[in-house]
Amino acid sequence: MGKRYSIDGRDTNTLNTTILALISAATIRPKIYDLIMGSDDTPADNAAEYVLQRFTAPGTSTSVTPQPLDPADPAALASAGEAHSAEPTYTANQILLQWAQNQRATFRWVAAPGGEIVLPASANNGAGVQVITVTGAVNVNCCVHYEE
Amino acid sequence: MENIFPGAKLERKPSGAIMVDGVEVAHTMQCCHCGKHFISVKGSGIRRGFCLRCHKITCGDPGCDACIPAEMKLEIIENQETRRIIIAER
Repeated sequence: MGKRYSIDGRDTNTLNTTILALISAATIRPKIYDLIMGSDDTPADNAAEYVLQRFTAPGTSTSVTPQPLDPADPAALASAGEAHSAEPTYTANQILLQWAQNQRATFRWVAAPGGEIVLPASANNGAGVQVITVTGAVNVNCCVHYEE
Repeated sequence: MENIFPGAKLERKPSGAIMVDGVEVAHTMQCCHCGKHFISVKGSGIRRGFCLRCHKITCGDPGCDACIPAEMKLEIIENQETRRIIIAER
C-alpha cells in the first residue's frame, strides 16, 4: 500500500461548482479510496447530485495541502484545490462516481482493495467533485483520502 | 433505517461500498475499461456489459464496449501529455 493522504474542501454547492479537486502529478498515480460528503449548514431538506469526474486542466482554486495520514510520510506529490474561481476543464463522459444526496445525510464511498479510482500520472490532470443538480444551495464539506 | 437505494444489489465481490449516515446501503462495481463505479439496481433496465478479454464487467457505456483496459487508457493520457511537452520544447 502506498502513502496515504487526506484532503478536504468546502464551498457552497451552487450548480456546476467544484467542491474539491485532486490534481495529479507527472510522477505519481493518485488512487482515491475514500470520499465523504456532508453539510454543516442549518439542517433542511435540500437535495443535490454530485459527480466525481476526470479533468484535464485544474482551473483556478484555493490550494489545499494534502495531509499525510502517517506523520512520518513525506509531502504529497499530488495537490488539491477548493473554492474554485475558474472551474476545471472536465472530460465529457468520464464520470467516475455519481450520487444524489439530501442535505441532512452524510454520504461516504469506500473502495474495496483493488477498486480504487486511479488518476493518470499527468500534470494538471485529476478528478473533481462537482455539483450537477441542486434544489437549494448550502455550504457542503468534502473529504477525500487517497494514496500515492 | 429505510434504504435510500431500493433494489440495490449487494455484490459478492464489490469494488466499493456506499454508506449513508454510517449505514452501508449499497455496493458499487467498477468498470474495467473506464474505472467508473456504479450501483447495480435490479430491474433498472440500465445496460451493462461484460468484457470477454478482461473477464470483468463494464459500465455499459458504448465507449467501453471495445476492450481498452483502464490501465491502457491511463497510459494513453500520460503519453499524450509527454508528447505535448516534447513538442512544446522543440
